[in-house]
Amino acid sequence: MTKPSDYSLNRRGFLKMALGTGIAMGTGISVPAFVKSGTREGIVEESEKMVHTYCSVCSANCGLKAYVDRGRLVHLAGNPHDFAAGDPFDPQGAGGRLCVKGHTALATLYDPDRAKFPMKRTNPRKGMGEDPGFVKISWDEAIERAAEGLSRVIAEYGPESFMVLSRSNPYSVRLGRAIGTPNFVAHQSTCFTTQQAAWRAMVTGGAKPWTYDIENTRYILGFGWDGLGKGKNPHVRNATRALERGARMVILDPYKSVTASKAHEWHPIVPGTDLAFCLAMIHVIIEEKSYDSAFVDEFTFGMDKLRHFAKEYTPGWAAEITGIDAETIVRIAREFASTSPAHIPSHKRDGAGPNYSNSWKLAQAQIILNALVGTIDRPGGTTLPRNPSMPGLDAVFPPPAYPTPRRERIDGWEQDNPFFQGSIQGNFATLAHGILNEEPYPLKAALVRGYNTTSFPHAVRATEALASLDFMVCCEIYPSNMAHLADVVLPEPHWLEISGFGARSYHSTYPQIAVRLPAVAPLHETRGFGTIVMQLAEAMGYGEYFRGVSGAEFTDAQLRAIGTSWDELTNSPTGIWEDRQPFQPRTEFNTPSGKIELYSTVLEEAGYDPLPYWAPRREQPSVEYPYHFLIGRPAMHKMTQTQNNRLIMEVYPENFATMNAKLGQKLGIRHGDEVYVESRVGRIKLKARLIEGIRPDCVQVVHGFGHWSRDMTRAYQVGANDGDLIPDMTFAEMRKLRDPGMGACMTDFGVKVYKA
Amino acid sequence: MAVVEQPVMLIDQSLCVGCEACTTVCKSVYGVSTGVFRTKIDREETGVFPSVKVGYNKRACQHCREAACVMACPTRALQKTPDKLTVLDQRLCITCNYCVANCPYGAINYDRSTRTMEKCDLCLVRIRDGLQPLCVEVCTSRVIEFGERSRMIAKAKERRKRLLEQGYANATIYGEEELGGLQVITVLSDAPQSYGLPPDPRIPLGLRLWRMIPLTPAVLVAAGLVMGTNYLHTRFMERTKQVALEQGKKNTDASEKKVDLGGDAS
Repeated sequence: MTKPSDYSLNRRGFLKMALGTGIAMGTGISVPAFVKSGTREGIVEESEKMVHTYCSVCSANCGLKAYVDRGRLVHLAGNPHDFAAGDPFDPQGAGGRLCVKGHTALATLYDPDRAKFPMKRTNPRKGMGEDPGFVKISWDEAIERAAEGLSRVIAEYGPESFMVLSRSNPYSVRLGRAIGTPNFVAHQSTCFTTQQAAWRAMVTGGAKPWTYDIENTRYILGFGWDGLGKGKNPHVRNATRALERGARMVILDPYKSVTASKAHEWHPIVPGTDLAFCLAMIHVIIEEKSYDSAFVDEFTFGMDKLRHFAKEYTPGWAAEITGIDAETIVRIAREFASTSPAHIPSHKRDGAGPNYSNSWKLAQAQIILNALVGTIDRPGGTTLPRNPSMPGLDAVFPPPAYPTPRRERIDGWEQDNPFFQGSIQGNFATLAHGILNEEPYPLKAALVRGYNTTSFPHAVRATEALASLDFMVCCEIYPSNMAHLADVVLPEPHWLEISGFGARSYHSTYPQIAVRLPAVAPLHETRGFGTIVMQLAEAMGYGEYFRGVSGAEFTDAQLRAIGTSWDELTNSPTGIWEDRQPFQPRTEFNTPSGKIELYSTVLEEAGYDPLPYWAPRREQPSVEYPYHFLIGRPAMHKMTQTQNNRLIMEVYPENFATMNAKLGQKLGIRHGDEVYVESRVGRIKLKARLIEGIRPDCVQVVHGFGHWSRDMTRAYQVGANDGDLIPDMTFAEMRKLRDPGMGACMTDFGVKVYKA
Repeated sequence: MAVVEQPVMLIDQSLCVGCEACTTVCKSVYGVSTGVFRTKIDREETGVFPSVKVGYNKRACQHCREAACVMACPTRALQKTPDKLTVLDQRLCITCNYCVANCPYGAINYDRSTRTMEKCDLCLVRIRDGLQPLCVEVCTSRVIEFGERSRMIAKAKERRKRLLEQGYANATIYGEEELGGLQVITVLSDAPQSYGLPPDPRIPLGLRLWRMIPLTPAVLVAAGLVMGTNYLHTRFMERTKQVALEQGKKNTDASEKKVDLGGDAS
């Protein structure tokens, strides 16, 4: 694999090159192509070095091989030993693949716009489009400044005035707990908590499972599920293999997604009515007794109550709501029940994601349907994780006692909700309300990592709220919008520059981890997040909480707990450690009854509907805002993180207001015209894209664009941010929805569209 | 790995999800200039809501046995290898773009910044070393294969049969017969038009006649014309630029005066 490269020149080649270059320089024309001829360009396998690591673009953590030649990363390829990208039941279908985002990650690594050194702002005014006047400072000064700024706020307003705005990370969580804040705010209410609440209550007692054994599914039914279009490597492999093997796929989606265009049937359902369709399916399957009675009898609880519940939800009733005729509903229900295995996969932001106020009920209904056909933790269905069990930071390095937080959270995350107590998740929809109204108290400082302002509902208001903070420290790889609101920017290395390991979170049918070794030495003056937090803690006076903590020892302790070690993993010829076991279907589930609870006693106890009674979405399109709003997520972009990547932007350069050609005609809008899309909280300007594959009463905008940081030269002012249209909420409004998943209702509102 | 004789690429376009992994890897590894592609995915939408079809087509050189580009090329820079691949010798290419105009698949691109033509050569350097073309290795949906012709065609037929069984009544194989047989065989779940492919590509008569002109003079004439045009064009552009610059200067002077006047008036 690591054969030395064959770039040596012979005498003739040298003369050719010298002559060619000489002529080119002498005559002012570009270097002619024949100079290049005869190279071994394209044989990446002959690079000087191959390094094992795994991809951190998304949480699928696909194992990869990084080819490095003369110090430069030239290619990223999948690791064929990584079964997350292969079929665990089929050795022929081994891995070795990545998705487009993984392959192009090297263009992010080498992006000249990256944050290269610590910076402080010199312009005290903060806000959208305000130039922070960043100047370079040393790391010592940066840590000192950051610590001083945060400490000043905490001394004045109390520990709860400080927030960690980041995904869960053991180091920042420890710092936050040491300070005594309850505020660990993260993005999950915009992502999957509607589904998590349902899975937790009915099946797992914990997380939502992310493993879909779709390659063995014979009948795939999707509600807004776009596994093929979002392009995640395991899902694309899963679903295309299933189709190749002859599975039937039926997709309900107001937009003709990639998955819908590969499906045998596409039904452009009325947005936000998928629940009615599922309820009618439950009705048909129970009435006709076509469910898997062996599975239902042995592994589920509450069938009697479900039978009674489903009586009123007839196909005729659902047809009125969904716009899909009753015969089709009956036929799909019959096909679903009679083709085994059949399954409704649901990943993050599809129909059961936090799009509508009834999405959590849809998640409930989908679990019921999957249980009725017996595809929960069975081949051809969603399987529960078989991740290796490893100790956390607190188990390896026990901390001194933490102070008890004095107040509830700023985003109202845990209040009245038993499902997310103590979770490092949060509510992007209510955060701005809490900060701007100082409700229930002032929040004035934040340690932010890796989040951007464009990810929030009502992003303009969220930006206003984050700009109002007295002090913000931002850890980033890019001088993003968020970094532009910070007082101190602490640059982090790209994941291709660091080491570590990653456990499978997707497709974990048995324990497996992938090693991460640095593909290249750090390109810039960056420091890892763990180091940054520990240095901050020391400078802020919380050093005792990190006494003796070592990242390397923590890693090794975790690996030893599963029977390997850092040494063994780094010397592994495959870059993968695994504990290959045959798939053992579960017979017991983590619920009070030990069964899959079709009738959820957990939800009932917590004061929510134990069964998914029909409820319409929060806001129907109105006279003023007559069209449904949809969000798209293409394969090439990872949310807001890839709009400065040169390779990706070449194939997906901007976002549009996508609508049906008929709607365009009705509104006098032509393909390419500039239009405004407006909701009750804001408007954005985009070019219109007229197509046929979308309902004529919908407008779709792809997420990720609309960056206003001038330091992101490629992303700057390209397209617009769909988040500017999404209404945010007060705590009271959120609670009124009675959603145990506290979904952010990302598309539960109407829009209008008009020529700019 | 053994080198494949008579190599053929098989693409199951019915399962391509249009993610552009192939496009970006090809560009990244070969350092192809911005805006220029050796391979690119096209999205083709046909029909009217709600009866809409969307096809993804991997637009790249099909390595036609009867290749229009090879016929069009006045300098023999484009040639067929013994393996029937269509390859471009940059040393002979005068970038006349006649191949671009004649390619029925839009698969040849002119790169202005390097003044070279870009086209897919099925990763010739790799396959001669017994490796697979890059797009075969990176395709996320694993629908591109590479191998010996009869084996690939047999696989394509098997896939077509499965598609027919699944109700895709127009499922077809593209490239078995077209233009004397293509070296890229494509499985489609629908008619070629649904993927933006020409259903019955033919070599235009004009091109056949052009091919009959004795070659050496053609080279001279073409080269002479290109150089002459280039010379005249450059001279013309220089003059236009000069005129424009002077004009611009005058305009600037005039507008500055206007601003001054405005200031006086207020």
